[in-house]
Amino acid sequence: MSTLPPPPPPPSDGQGGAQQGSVPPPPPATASAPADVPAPPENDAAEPTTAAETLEEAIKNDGPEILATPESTGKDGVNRCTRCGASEVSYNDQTETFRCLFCRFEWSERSLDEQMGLSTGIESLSGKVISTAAQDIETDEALVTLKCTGCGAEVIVNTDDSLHAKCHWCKHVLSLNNRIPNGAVPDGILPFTVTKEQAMASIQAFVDDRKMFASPAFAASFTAENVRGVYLPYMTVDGNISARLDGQGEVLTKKVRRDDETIYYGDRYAVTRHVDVLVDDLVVETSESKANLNSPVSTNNIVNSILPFDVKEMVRFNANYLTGYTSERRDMNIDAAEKYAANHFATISRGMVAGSVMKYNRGVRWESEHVWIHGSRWVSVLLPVWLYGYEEKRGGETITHYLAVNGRTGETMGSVPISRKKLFAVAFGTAAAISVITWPMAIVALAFGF
Amino acid sequence: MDIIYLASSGDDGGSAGLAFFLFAAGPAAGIGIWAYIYNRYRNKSARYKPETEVHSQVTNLVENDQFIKKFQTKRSSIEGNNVQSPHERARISQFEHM
Repeated sequence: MSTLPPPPPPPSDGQGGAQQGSVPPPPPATASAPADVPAPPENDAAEPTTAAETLEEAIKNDGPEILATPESTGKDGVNRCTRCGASEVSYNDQTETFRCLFCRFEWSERSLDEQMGLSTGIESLSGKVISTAAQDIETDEALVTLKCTGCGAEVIVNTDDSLHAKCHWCKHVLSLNNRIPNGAVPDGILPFTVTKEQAMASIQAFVDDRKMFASPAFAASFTAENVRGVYLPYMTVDGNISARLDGQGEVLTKKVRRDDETIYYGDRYAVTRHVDVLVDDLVVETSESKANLNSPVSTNNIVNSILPFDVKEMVRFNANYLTGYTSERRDMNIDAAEKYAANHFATISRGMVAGSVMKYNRGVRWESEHVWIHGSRWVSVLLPVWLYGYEEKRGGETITHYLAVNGRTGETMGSVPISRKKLFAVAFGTAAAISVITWPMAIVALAFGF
Repeated sequence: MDIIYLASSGDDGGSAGLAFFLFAAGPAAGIGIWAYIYNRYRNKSARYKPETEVHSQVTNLVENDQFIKKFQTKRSSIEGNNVQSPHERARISQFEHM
């Protein structure tokens, strides 16, 4: 029998060569970093802190700059035809145009991105820049009173259900289009382009592919027609950020195989990356009930996974877009949404440096990440989602499963409740069938020493 | 990178390893099927991927790699490898608003 080649010389730090199971020392980034790599923060060397703690500490109110959102065309509460001034206006989501029901004139809205310059100036962002409708919510009051400009009557709108109301005296259609203090009116909106029929077909196909192990109750009640179009509240966030990452990487130099084990030889490096990144149109949830992706009662990650949207195409909010759909009111301020954005910034930074560590073919363990957010720009927006919800009751608990279709791209994702009995039967049956063959072989191998 | 194959004398260790593999094959297949189907139906790992789905532009990247030492191990990859999971936060994660 051959023998293993001698191990490489012991490392100069006096530790053994084999590192299986050992906790490596922190990377010597401070001592070895070149002058042009910014020094890590002082508390890098202190006791490790959790991401959640540091996120909470990092969030502070610096007095944001307000970015004025252009006035809506219906600034007096009435959406008027841009040619004749009539208030009977409808939106056609097939042609993506508004139409005057009086003079038949059709027109479309300009992109809000273009109007507000949201794709430019990211590199010079400093501090927080917040659009008009992204400012803090001042009240949870859902009822808003509008004064009809036609006859002067006061009309009450329940913003939880609608942002429209018809004056019962003069029949003017009144809409909430500009900022109100309860978060119901965003800066922009991205209208639906995926039709209900297309969404139904996508969801039906998704479920059809997963019928075999679906729970019987779900399979019996599932009806694609029940999918509903919902405008959900988000913020788009631009970021001017820097990040420093410290960790260790390993390069494989030699592999020695015997039939029962493999020994890997390699070189270990302290790896540091400092990266400056401009982030354009990150999307962050601003509905408390949807933002928690680890919710035990709701499969929020499904709705999260159909991001992103083509938010460059968003237009100034107009309540006419909501006709035929439901909408959810924003209930999170930027202070609450900021921790999600910061997490995404860290994720993006990690992704941006991945190409520079490809040579470490045994991988990299990032041990420390520090993100500096030099500037960020926040704009509130309603985004279109086709949503199907199903409540599964198991024991004393209820979990809501979502099937979601992106109302712009058609991307579909879902969570289908499983029949655990069927799943167990198949998994156990497979295990038993294979074991019936392999276990006698194992006994023979042990008995006769193959 | 060299890969060296060493012949075995067919000792008891080899038989025990083979037997262990054969004993474990059935249960492992069952667990694998369970995990595959569960993930296909529930999609618990589905998520927004800002690292690839958001337009981001790197304006400056500084690299610094320092050799520490040579090593040998039975692990096939570095312990705690997280280069493929950028959405999972590192052990120390800090954020600073300027």
